[in-house]
Order: sequence, then structure tokens, then C-alpha cells
Amino acid sequence: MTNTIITNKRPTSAELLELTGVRELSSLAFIGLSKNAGKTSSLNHLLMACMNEGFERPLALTSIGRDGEESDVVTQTEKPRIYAPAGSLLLTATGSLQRSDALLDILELSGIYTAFGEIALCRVLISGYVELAGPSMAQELKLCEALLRRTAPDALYLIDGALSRRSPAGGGLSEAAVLAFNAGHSGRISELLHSCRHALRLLTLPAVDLDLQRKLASALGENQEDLRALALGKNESFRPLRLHTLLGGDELRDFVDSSDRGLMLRGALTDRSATALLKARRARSFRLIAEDGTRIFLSPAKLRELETAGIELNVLCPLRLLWLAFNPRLDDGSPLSSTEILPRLQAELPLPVFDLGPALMV
Amino acid sequence: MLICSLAEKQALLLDEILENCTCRSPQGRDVKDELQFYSDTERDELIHEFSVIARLRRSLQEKKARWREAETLLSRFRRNDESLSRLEKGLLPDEAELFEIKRSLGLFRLLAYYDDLLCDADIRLTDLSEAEALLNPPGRREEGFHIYSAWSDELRHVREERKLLEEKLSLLLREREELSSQAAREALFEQRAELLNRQKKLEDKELERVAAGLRDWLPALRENFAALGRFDFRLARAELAERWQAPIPEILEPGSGSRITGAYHPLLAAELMDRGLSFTPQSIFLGEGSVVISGANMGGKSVALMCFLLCLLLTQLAICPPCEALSTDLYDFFSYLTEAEGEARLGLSSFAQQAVRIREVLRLSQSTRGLVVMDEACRGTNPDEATAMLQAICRIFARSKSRLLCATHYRMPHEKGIRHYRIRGLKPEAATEERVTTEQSMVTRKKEDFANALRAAPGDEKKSKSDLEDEKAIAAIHEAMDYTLAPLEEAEDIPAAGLCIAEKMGIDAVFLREMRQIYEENREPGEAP
Repeated sequence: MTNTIITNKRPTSAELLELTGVRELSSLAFIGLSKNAGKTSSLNHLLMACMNEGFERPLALTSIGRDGEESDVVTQTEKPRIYAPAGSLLLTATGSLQRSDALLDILELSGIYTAFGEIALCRVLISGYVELAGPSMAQELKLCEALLRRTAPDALYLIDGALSRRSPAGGGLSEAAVLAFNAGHSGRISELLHSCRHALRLLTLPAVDLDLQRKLASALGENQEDLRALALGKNESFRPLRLHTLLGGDELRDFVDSSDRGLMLRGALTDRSATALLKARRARSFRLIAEDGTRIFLSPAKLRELETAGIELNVLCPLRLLWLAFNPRLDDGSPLSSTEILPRLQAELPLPVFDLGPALMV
Repeated sequence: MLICSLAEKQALLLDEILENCTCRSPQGRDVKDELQFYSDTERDELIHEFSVIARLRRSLQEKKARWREAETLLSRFRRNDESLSRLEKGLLPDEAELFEIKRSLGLFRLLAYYDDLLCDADIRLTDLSEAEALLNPPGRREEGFHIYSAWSDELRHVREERKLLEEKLSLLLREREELSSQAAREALFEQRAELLNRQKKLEDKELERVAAGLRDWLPALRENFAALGRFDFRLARAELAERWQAPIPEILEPGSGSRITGAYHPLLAAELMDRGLSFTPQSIFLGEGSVVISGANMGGKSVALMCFLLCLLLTQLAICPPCEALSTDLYDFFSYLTEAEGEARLGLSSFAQQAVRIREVLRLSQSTRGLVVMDEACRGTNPDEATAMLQAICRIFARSKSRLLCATHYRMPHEKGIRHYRIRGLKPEAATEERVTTEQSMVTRKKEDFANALRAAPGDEKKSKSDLEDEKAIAAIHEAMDYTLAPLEEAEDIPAAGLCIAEKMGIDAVFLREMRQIYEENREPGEAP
């Protein structure tokens, strides 16, 4: 990514594409810190930018869960819809095809089923609004990508997240991500900065070295749904913890022993599991590894506790965050003026921040 | 049909055997799951099935590459039942359903290129190219599906208008700072909504037209799917027969009996082979009346029963049986009775459960002809009563339409209608070997066979000491056993091998001495040791 100077004004299409580095990317995820953070709007802006600049590669769209619907199924607030340009590809459930007004040519059925039907690969023949209802599991996203690449090997695969799961960018599912966030509950800049910095810290944790990365990836392997954690023992040995589900922290506390020099945790790393590890008998120098930054849900206080206890936090798959999209609305949808907040965010956060504005007007 | 409990069916490993008969399409799997049973009334159909399988087996050898391609096509078929059902009910299918139907029609077209293979399998497919054409633009064939503009001039015009409007809209959305006015934007969206409405109506009209056209083809489509299922299942059975090198059974007239040569249980044989041991194939003739199999403990009587039952049952499921040769008349039913658990809720002991089962089978045998297989029936009551009951059962079946095949330790009469076979049992040298005590167990040593049995196998390190001892003891017994089934023309005493087996399984020497002493005290003069 080049060192582009961005001012308060919104980036042009060319600037947005350059900042995102789309020409070098094969996949990009849009994740949000909360519901209604603005990730779908960000996706729409990028789509528009691609159309404006005549981006030559096909665009492929999918989501984790359901997006692009007209109103939020939970809050009933109006949601931005996704405008898919002609020539782009969609991976979406058959149940959502009827709610899309783009003209779609169905190319393939994936054999992956969701609550909204089977995921179909479609090509957009006439541009229009679409509802994306993609797979709900990370492994299925990978299968969808494989299906897509058989038709369009060089497509740019764009993944829209849902709610605040933050999962689509993690686990090596996409090369890079854009993070969307809104003004939170109160709109107070100090609180907003605090929560953003904390989120960025977790999302961009450093990866373990390549050698350990390879070994862990191999140990995690395929078809090990019951594998919850790997203890890193002496002489580079791994000890697996297999459970149907990890309920709380007791299993972790009892699993770790004083000779372990680290723990690789599958799934979410929460305050509860961190508390359990703090109580476990472990080596003085201990490393805690999550699959990626989107699986870490630690409060600032718990993070400090881990640091004080000498526990180093790493990830298996690092997340490359490109820029941040700020949605000047509170959690409840009330608008705020971004003229004061945005410059502070831009000055204090380590990545470019933009208020791209609403993507589509209806 | 097979009459048995769930536990008995599981003991036969019938489902596991059938898993080896692999269909590639959901339609094939459906036909397989139906498990059509051919009784004597369907004798001609059964003979025809086997003649097709024989032809298919030759074809599989001669046309390997073509079969691989056809198999790939089979695996691409999906279920279309719901879509077809909706069409039948007069409902409008959606585009995803039409895509699925179109995909199936395309696959049938491709499958038709393998007409030689279809002919080998005695399968005919109806040409559905006209139906497929309904789901394509005129004069073209496309892989995907949508409601084509080429189907309707009006639709084409509306979509062209729509395309122009979307281009205007895209421009509007991308460069909204330069918009003319709010009113202009709203007008554009209104125009769009109106176009979408017109487009939807025209598309629905085309959908109805296509659906109506497809309905005319439904019977042919359903018949093709049924034919596909039969094709796939025949292929699966032919492949299984090749893997097993199974014979094509000879189907005989009623009353001809069942002759089975070299029968084996595929899964048990494979397990033994994994452990470096061999399976002894068994042969038998079942004529009218009863057949009794006797023999030593762990002599393989139960396994022999299972093998014969499986061979005859699979034959009547039109699956080539795992044996060297088989010729048989056909049964109306098979019954398999081995362990019967009591039903405490009903107040039934295991013996009473058996009695109920025997009652039902005897009733069935009054009007139909079955093969009743009983493994150590009438256990659970005192031996004198049990012997009397089983002797009576043998005599009843000696006069019945049905045939009885049973294994027992009880003495059964040698008389008309009751034939005997015996598992030869422990080899003579094994019973008199010098007993040596090893560190692991008190298993009788038998020269290098014993050494082989004691050889450590992969995975031994995960087993407990007593498990390992038992496994090695069983292996040693296997080596010492002659499993051959031989006809017995006259009454013969069966050498008691139970104590020998007990000794090989490691029963303490003190207890064994006492058992032997009591056995000698109770043994009748002249009875074999």
C-alpha cells in the first residue's frame, strides 16, 4: 500500500481502490465492530469505486449470514442494500434470489445448505439490488471460494460479515479486511477511541513465526471438530484437548500444566477462558495463541491482566487491516455530525479512517 | 424377507456388507434402500437380474474407461423429487428448481452418449431433449439458467429499457454530488420500480409457460429417474460381484434344495486376514427337512450359519453371494434366531422370547416356505427339556414346507428328514500338546504357529495386558482348530472341547483340575473324552 495522503474529504474512487490495494488482492472482508457499523455501506462504496474505475477483474460477493436485506431482522431499522453491478458473481442462498431485483443467471448449486436454502453461484446479467445470504461457517466460505474460482479464477472475492461476529476475515479466509465501526452507545470521542484502539490491538496481534505457524496448522488439520486446544509442550510437542464444547474455563485450567510453554486455543478467547488460564499452573514464560484476531473477545482489563502475568498473545493467522470506515451514527441509528469526531479519529488511530457517507439512496 | 431382531441383524453385519454395494446417485441409493426381495413368484425377474449383472461384469472389464466416465455422470445427479412434486401439483417452480431440472436433463442427454453401457445394463432412457430445449433460449444451449429474454420480445424490450435505466442509476449513485435534483432522482427510482413490476409480470408469464410445458414431460422424466436408479444399482451390484469374484447363482425350481460351495463372510474374512489368519470357507446342501450342525466350542458353527444365511438372502436380494458356487430354489422368508434378550417389561425371559419367535415361525411355515436358521436355540432352560424341544423342532421341520438349519450342542436324532454336519474341531495334536506356561498366559504352545500367534502386532502397545493375552489365546485356538464342515452319516460323539478351550483362555489350573474331575465322574462309559 502506498503512502497516500488523505485529507478530511472522502477519497475518490481511484484513491479508495489504491488504498485498498484491490489490484493485488484476491479476497477482502468487510467486518464490523457491532451491528449497523456500516460494513455493507463500505462494501457498496468499494463496488461503486470498482465500477467507476473500470476495474477489470470480476467481482464476487458473498456474506457470512444474511446481508442486504431491506430491514434489520433484529432492530427493524432500514438497512442499506447491496447494489451488484452487471458481470459480478454472487454466492447466495436460493431463498434470497427472489428478494433480489438484479437479473441473475444461476451457474451452479454448491451443495452447501443454510437456513435460507442452498448456496447458488450466480452471475449478474443486469445490475440491481441483491440480498446476500451466504454460508454461516468459515469452512463453507472456503468451499464457496473454491466453487467460485472454477468459474472465475481471478475474481476479487468480497465477503460481507454479519452482526459483530467478525469471523469472515479470520482464519485465513481473506487476505485483508476493512473494519467498520459506528459512534457506539454514547458518541463520546474518548470512549470511542478507547474501544477502537482496543479492538485494533486485538485484531492486529502479531502472528507466531512461520515454522510454528506451519506446525500448528498441520496439528490442527482437517476434520477435527472436537479439537479445542493444543498445549505447546517441551521439544515442540503438542498435546490436544478434545471436547465436544468448551463450556467455561475449568477445562483449560486443568488441562494446562507447568511444563507447557503455550496454548493454542480454537474458537473464541474470552475473559472467562483468560481468567482460567491465569489460574492454571503454567510456565513463567507462556504464550497464548488464538486462530486470528477476530476470535479474541477480551476486555481491556483482562488484556492488562494477561500482560501483567507475562502471558504473550499471538495469532496463527494475522489479519491485514487496510482502513477503517466510520459510520457517524449511534448504535440505535441516531445520526451524529462527523466534522469533529472524524479528524480526532484520523489523528489518533493508526490506520486511515473515512466517513464514506451513505452508499445508496433509495 | 428376513425375520430377526435388530441385534440379530447387526450380528449378521448385513448393513455393513450392503455398504460395500456403492451407488453413486441418490436415485440408485433409493433403489438399493428398497432392498427388493425376490421370492419364487418373481423367479423370472431374479434370473433376468442376474443375467444382466453377468453381462455388466463382462462390460466392466471390456470398457473400463467408458464406465469411469459414466460413473462420474452418475455422481452428478441430484434429487429433484421436490421440484417435480411442485410441478405435478400445479405450483410454479422457482428459478433454482428449474436450474436443477435443467441440469438433470442435461445429464440425461450426456448419459445417452453411453448407449452401449445402458444396453449392457438393459436400461432404456427416453430422449428428453425437447424438455431440455424448454429451458434454453431457442436454438442454443446454455449451462446456467435464467428466464431468457429470447423467449419473449416484450420481455426483451423491458429488459433493454431496464439496462439503460440501471446505467443511469449507477451513474447517479456513483456521482451523487452532481445530481440534478431530488425530484429527478425520485422519478428515476419510480421509473425503475414500474419497469421491475412489468418485468416481473412478463417473467412470471414465461415461468408459467415453461412449467406447463415441463408438466407434459413429467411422466417421462420420472421414468428416466427410475431407470437411472435401476442402472446405478445394477452397476453397483456388478462391481461388488467383481470385487468378491462372486458367482452368478443358479436359480432352481421349487423343491431342488440349496447347494452352497465355499461360502464366506466378507467382513469376518477381511478381519481375520488383517490379523494374519485365514477364513475357512464352508459348503453345505440344504434339502427338504432339517439340517443340524454340531461341533466344538469356538468351532465356527455360528459363523457357518451366518455365511449360509447371507449367501441365500443376498441371492434373493439379487446380489451375487460371497461363495464359490451357489444353486438354490427360492424361499418366501428367512428367519434368524440366535440370542434373544428377555423383555423384562413384558415379563418374558430370554427363553420365553425364543419360544414366541419359534411359535411365529412355525405358524408362518404352515402356509409359506422359509429357511429357518437357529443358533443354539432353546438355551435358557434345563438341558433335558431343551434337548427334547429342539429334537421336536427338528422333526417338525423334517415334515414341513420350510427348512431348518440349526447349530446346537444338544444331541439330535439321526433319522429321516434330519441331516447332520459337524465342524471337525480341535486338531488332534492340539489337544495333546505339552502344556507350557509362558510369562503372558497359560496358552498351549503349538510349535511355530504359537510363535506366530504371539508375535506383536501394530497397536498392541495400546491394549491392556489381559486383552493382549485373550487375543493371543484366540489366535492360538484359531491355529489349532479345523473349521471344516463335514457331513455326518451316522451318530458320532462330539469330543468335548469346552475344557480345552477354557484352558487355552487361561482358566486357573486349580479350577480346571476340578472341572476335569467332575466331567470324568459324570461322563458315560464309552463317551468320547
